[in-house]
Amino acid sequence: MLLVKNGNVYLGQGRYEAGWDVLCDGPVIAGVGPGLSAAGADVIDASGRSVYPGVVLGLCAVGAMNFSDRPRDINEAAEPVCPEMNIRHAFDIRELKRQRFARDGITSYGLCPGTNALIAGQMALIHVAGERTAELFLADRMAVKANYTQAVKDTFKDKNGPATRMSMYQHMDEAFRAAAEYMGKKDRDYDEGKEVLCRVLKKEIPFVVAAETPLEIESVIDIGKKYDLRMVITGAYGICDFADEVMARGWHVMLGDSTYNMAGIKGHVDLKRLVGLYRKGLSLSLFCSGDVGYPPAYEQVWWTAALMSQAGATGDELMDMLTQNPARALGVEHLVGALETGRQADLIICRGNPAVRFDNYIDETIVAGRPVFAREGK
Amino acid sequence: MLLIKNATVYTMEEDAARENCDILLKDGKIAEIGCSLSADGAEVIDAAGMVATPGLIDAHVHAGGFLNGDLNEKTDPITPHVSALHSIDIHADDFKAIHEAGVTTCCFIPGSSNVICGTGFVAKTAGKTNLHDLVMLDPAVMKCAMGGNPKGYGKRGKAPQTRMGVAALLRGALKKAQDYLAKKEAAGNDREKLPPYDAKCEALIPVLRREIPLKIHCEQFDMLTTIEVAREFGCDYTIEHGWACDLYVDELVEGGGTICFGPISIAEGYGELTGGDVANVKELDKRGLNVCLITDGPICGPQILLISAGDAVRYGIDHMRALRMITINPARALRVDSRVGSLKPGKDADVVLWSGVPALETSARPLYTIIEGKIVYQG
Repeated sequence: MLLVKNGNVYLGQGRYEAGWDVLCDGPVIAGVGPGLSAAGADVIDASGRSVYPGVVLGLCAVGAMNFSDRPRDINEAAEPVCPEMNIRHAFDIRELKRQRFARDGITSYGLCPGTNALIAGQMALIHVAGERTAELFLADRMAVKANYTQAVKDTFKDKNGPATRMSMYQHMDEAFRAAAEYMGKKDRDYDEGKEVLCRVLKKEIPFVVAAETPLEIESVIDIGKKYDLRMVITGAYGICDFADEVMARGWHVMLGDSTYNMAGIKGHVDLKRLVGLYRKGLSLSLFCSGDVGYPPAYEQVWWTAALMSQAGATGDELMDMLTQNPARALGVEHLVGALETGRQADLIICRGNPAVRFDNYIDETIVAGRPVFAREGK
Repeated sequence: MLLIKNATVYTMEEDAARENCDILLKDGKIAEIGCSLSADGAEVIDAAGMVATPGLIDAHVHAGGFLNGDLNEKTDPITPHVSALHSIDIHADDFKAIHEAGVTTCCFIPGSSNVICGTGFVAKTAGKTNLHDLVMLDPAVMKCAMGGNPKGYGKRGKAPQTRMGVAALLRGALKKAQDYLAKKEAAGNDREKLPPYDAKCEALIPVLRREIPLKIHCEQFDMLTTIEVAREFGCDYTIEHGWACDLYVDELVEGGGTICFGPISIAEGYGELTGGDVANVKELDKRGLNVCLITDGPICGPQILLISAGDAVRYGIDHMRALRMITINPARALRVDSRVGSLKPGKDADVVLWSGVPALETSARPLYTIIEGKIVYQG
């Protein structure tokens, strides 16, 4: 048992409770409130400090990339549509152990396939710290990752396509049409990929699709409407003009890294407008380019947060975009994203809101009830 | 004339900010910094609540020439005789965005596909309509590259194919230039005795005379080779990128060359691709080495220069030290500190007025970017 005492505890949507405690029983939160006690528990005194849920990075391929090898293990690209791929089988715990997620306050992430295939495979939710692979996985096959971007064209233009965006649309449309037909048949030959897409069609799991430019976003919205999917649009640099449609359907937007490569669409996101749309109800979270082939860095999620801060987002809005919003988008809000009894005991203890000041250091990070990071001198 | 009133001013000449401070800009220069200044006929900016810093400086930028491939002359691994001046387009999207992020001076350099890549220059980022009027210093540096990038020649069956090959080519070129220079000096005014004109050797003479530094792309143990070669030829050098510099602190401090670290932040991979953590420069800074942070633009956007300094603070580097890494330190590394890098009477009137304390408050953004006394951006 671990008891975090007397912190300024963040409950989301701007609500803080001063002098509250968080009790962790094993990997799970056993209580959040004032005056908690537990015999024999290790105690962390959080007096004068703030306690936030750990950051949930919506998308990240680190751990499954296999940096030393090409092609990267995240990019199965023999066929443009391969939903049967499961990222779990590319995961190498050694790669994870080299990283600094906990220092940056990230406690879990959506482990995802890469950018190259049109429908690239199934995601998992994993913790950033743990000894064995099995214990890291919080949720397996909990979303399907797809890409509707230039990278797909680049990958398949010299194979059997798609070589154009019109063909990308056709391939994606056909994949869902065929899966819907498969679902309707009584007598069918088992097809793993179609089984996975049936789960998407039944809205059991979200369809997480990278789309960056307005044209790409408009096309994936068409698909989402046609097959009535639970959509998460990622990257989403050109989302502003489509926000009404996204809000009306209860879909979610994961804003990608707008820090890498100043030319092109990534450098032209209207962040001020996006902050305004968030306040009107757009479901929004932040990630960084965690699914590219080049080794990405996860702490860049704080860079996007800083740019959003410059654009007027408050620190509390940003912490929601980094915790509960991505958890909800991926359908894992029962597991992570908030300090609430029954969820995973993933939390960070900071001097103040780390999205507001660079010196509001993340002092301590707790993953699954275990302290895994403490800042030097803390 | 422009009079900035009542700002909180980080001059970068002192260890603390000055409150309620005025700055008078005249004829493109800083005329005066102090309390309750006045000047007849000056345009006044009421900067109450704003924070003034010198314009930020990025010592390693490819913006304006990188995306169209014009900064990597991949036909010959030794090209000291080409200049980035002829490949930077100030109308390119990525160039135009720089000053809006509060970055007023950059060193624009060739990419890293060659062992010796060409010369780079230092220029202001806005305020004039052509590149030559923006230039402060040219040539300013000789860009070189160690490590993986120049090994690309291996695909064509040419040298270099290994790090050994890279080092041999670099040494060979410098050795040849050294001999060439010796022959020229021996010839004196006797035209008959001059060696045949060699453009590459000519371009390397300022390096051998320490008029410009070698600016060497390197990561990991490549920095040891850099220090060794620079010492052998008596050249000045700066270490560019410098990932994993924390493993070579003693050698770097002893070598004395500036480190231009970045772009910061990378997942920990293998080989070159590890050690991009900005916390890695903390010890070097403490030991007195000149440390700069860089964006490698357009690899990272220009806003990331400030955020890199913020990240340095996030990982325990003192705020004032972090601000130095994007102002006065790069000015010194680029040898333009008599003109830019701090706010001081007589220096260029390059000032940024921020909405909050840059590199401390995440919301701080430029409200005014002023270059040589002219407002070039208003946010």
